[in-house]
Amino acid sequence: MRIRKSKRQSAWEFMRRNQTFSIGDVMMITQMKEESMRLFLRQLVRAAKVKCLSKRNVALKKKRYLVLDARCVVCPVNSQGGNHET
Amino acid sequence: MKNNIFVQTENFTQILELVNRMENDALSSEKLGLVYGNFGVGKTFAIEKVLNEKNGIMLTAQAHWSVKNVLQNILIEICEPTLGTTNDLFERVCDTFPSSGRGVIVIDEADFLIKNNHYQMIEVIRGIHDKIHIPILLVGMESLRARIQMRPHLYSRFPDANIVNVKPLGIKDIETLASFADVVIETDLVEHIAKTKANFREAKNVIKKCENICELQDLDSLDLRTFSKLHKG
Repeated sequence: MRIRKSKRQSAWEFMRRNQTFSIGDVMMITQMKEESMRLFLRQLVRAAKVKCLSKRNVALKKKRYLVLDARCVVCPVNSQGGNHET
Repeated sequence: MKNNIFVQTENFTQILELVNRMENDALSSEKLGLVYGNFGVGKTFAIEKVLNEKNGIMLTAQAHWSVKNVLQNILIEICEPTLGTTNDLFERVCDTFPSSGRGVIVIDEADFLIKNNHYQMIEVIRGIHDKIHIPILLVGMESLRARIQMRPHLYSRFPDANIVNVKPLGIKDIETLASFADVVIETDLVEHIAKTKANFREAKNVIKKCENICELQDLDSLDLRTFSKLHKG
């Protein structure tokens, strides 16, 4: 049985594989909308899974992030805003 | 130029077709695939995009990896414990992967699976394939094919249809890329870019340069003559 991945899961897998990544690349690969990506990133930063490497005034798509904890295979934050560890 | 548009190059289409074919082939047929080519032609990004559509796992092989590391990394991706002897791990991969819901294993930088003519790691991959018949795609540099060819019993498991040579960008790819530009780039200029810039990133930079020239000169389209004149000037 093949399980279909959510966009968040695809984005998280891309981030884990690349360690440092630009949001533009994640959006290009996953076709995630800017608003969804913004919310997702906010949750990941709050959960201390990623950290922003760019200055605040840089456009979202050009911002670079660093994955702090790549152990979670399953996306560590869910769409309701809560967190879960795997 | 529209940002973050994924240009579906011929290479991407070939890789996507390959993965589809490997997934849909009969259970008994060979499902080992090979994608090889020079750096900078968009292999990894194409694979990332394909994996986004398929529920597969992707490992990036490292120079220090051993057989155990290969197996442990597969197990991590399917959320299985990684403790035990190499044989335990091999059996665990074979027992649990089919029920993990994952479709394909992609190994990037697969050149690192063959070290100083030691083929153990790639033989383990072959072992997994032979035992559970899952599609496994190896991605590497130009020399990878030749190195696998040195082992006929291994190479025979890669059907010709499952081998993709990733080529530098062609005119069609540049045309597609140019179609996303904010200005019209004439055919002669597209041909010039295709001839001089085989690397995706470089081609994209030239197109951005064309847009800047058009903006400064208030032009709607750009041909090779105007580009050469204004670019040098």
